[in-house]
Amino acid sequence: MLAYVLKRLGVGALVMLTISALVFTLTNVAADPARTIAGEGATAADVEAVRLSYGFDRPIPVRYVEWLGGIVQGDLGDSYRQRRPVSTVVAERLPVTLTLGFLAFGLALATAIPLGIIAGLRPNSWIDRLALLFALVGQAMPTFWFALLGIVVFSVMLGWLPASGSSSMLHFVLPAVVLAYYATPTLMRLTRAGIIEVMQSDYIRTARAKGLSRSRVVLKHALRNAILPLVSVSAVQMGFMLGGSIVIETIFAMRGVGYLAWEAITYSDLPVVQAVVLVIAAIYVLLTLAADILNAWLDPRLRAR
Amino acid sequence: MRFITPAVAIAATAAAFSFVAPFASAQQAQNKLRWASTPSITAPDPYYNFHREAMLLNGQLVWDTLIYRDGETGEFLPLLATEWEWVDDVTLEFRLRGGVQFHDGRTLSAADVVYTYNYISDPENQINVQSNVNWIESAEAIDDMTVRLHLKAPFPPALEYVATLHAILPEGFFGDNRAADPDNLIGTGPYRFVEFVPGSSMRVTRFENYFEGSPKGQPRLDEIEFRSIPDSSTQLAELMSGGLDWIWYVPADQAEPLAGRPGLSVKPAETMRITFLSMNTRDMDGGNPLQDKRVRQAIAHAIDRETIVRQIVGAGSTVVEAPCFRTQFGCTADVTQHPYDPDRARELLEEAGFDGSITLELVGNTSRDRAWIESVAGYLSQVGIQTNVQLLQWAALSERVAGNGAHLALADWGSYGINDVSALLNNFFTLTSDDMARDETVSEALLAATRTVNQDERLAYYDTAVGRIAEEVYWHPMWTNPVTYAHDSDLEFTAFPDENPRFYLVQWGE
Repeated sequence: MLAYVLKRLGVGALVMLTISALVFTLTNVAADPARTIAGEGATAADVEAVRLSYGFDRPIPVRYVEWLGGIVQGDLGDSYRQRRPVSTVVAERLPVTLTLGFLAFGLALATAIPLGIIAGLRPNSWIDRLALLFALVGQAMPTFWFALLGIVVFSVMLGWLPASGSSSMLHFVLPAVVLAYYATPTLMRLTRAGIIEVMQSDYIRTARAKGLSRSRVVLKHALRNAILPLVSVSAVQMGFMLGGSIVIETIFAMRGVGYLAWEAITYSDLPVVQAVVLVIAAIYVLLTLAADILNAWLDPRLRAR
Repeated sequence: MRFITPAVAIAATAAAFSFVAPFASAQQAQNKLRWASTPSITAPDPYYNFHREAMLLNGQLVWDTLIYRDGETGEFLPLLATEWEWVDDVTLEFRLRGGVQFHDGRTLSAADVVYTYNYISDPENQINVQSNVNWIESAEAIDDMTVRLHLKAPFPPALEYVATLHAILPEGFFGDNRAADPDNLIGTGPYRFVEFVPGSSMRVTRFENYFEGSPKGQPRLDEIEFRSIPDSSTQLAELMSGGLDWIWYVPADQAEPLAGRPGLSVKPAETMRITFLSMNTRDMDGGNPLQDKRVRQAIAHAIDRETIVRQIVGAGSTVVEAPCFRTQFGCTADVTQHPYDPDRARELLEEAGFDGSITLELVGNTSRDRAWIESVAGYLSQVGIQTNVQLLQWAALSERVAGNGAHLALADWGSYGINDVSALLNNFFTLTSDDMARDETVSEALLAATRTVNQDERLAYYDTAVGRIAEEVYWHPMWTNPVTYAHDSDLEFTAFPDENPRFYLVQWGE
């Protein structure tokens, strides 16, 4: 098991190195950072002054090596816009994103798994059809649209929930529901498919023949095998919620990492863009690693491969 | 046909259900104003900032400038300085007002003014917009209440910048590390800092000891809160649900359904920001048809600006006749006009030897309405000029222009509210990388106009420059950009063309 974990960690480190090279190069060649930093009102002379003062006149590989050296020593550089250490800026924003991500993920799992089990136990019944319709709507509806609908109904018309901000737990309700609804369909359908498949297997028939109760058969025997694919997909969904909630955080003006990414991209705050991408990549790598380990624990056959 | 955007649908739906959530005016009772804008402010001071929200709005609430420009008359009035004069072409002298207090109780003196000007004009300190200060040599205290500002060369619009953008800070404001101490954000303005959350919000409250006699008047509100909300639909929702009192830059398509909602005022207003079609006359790979003046004239004649303004740009906008804003010093209206005349455009193209086979690269800014550039492309195609339209972020657009990668650029410029042509044309016609025309006569005239403070001489130079830009059709001036403001109808708010909502003049009605 230890060798398996070490091997996965090595792969993760290589992935991070590749991403760091890609993100550094792409952010520097996508548009002239000096012009973006100088802003819309800048003259040509302002742009040149920015270029020299930030060192954008030096070759990209030289700057990459310097940047990587800093990261190894725990220095992510300073934000061009905020003139503060990037690590401080990102750390300030993480709590909002983590709170939103965990709330949404918990909500998605709490909805998807029971709904998937119920639908899987009664395939093609009216409840199954209803669950599939719920999943279809969730998958088809763009997140931003659902978010705006939520704002219109619950903030503008009913006045129950705030439309923007992140200063209280009440501010997290709408964004968490919207984000959860995006992830629920995939998780629900996987659970449903797993349950349908597992319920037809021999060992379940044996368990039933032994006279075990239906709930014991489902929860103790069927679910453990049915959720194996769910674990891997959950890692991706969790990664999306922690790193990919840019749209949600921007619409709801929540001061999280996603909103920070939007700001940093808009204003070419390259050190922040690079740090946010690295943080998100690290989250994905860690979650994938956790999912691999969890799967290996659930299914010993995977460890042997 | 224009698509109905989600934001329009939301505004329309919410307007239809307006009876559900009666407009709350709790803020009126608390004498508080809450406003929002798209950019996030990451520094609270007016100098390490690119955003109007910090430089102009919060900047002039917490800080004062030496002199004040009246929004209606354009007249300079005393603010921190009671008297001022040009000692010579490169020296301005200011006599300071006595008894002006900073928010911590300290009294304003020449040392604070000298510190501010010497700090912001030192290139080592890298304040964000160097062109606002790079004409200043230094500042010097003559006595405790008199300051002289030494310029590097004659710079006639100096007082415009002094009155608009140069907030006076207390001595030592930035410390040694070029950063303002967040616990010591002190100014002399009518409001004092309470809270600043980087990238999110800023709150100021009434300063009780604000000096008498300021043209800004005594603070009318008890508290003003700014929030950064990037999505315009969310801003709209907050305004309609009573979470905000004032927003601006409401997209034209959202303003219409919003206008019918009780309790809200929706006001489109003209600004100094003008949109222009810039024509590239430089040598380009594969030849450049725009080097033929007749093609440039044809382009100008092909576009029906009146219709675009009426149908697309919307209320608050007008067609611009000259390549500048009409109130700017040096903006002469007596220039060659190119009215909409598609037949003349076709004739000119034929005379120039083009038979409908021209294809041009047309670039524009993503942050403007896509329909603007599409309508221009549409009119051009009607006279046989095809365009490859590309909307780019400002940096990429600017890079494309500088890199000689576009024939036409639909761009705009707000002149930072500076009422002088130099704040507009000198950025585009003085042979810098942003100069698509590279006309030495224009460049010389524009630069000469900034080297003298003699107003008649300056007018003569601008007559030459503005006249030649129009005659040679380097720019085809299009329209003024409107700003639509939306706010609680009980809020007494007046819009000015310099895109500077003077919040110190705002108050709740009875």
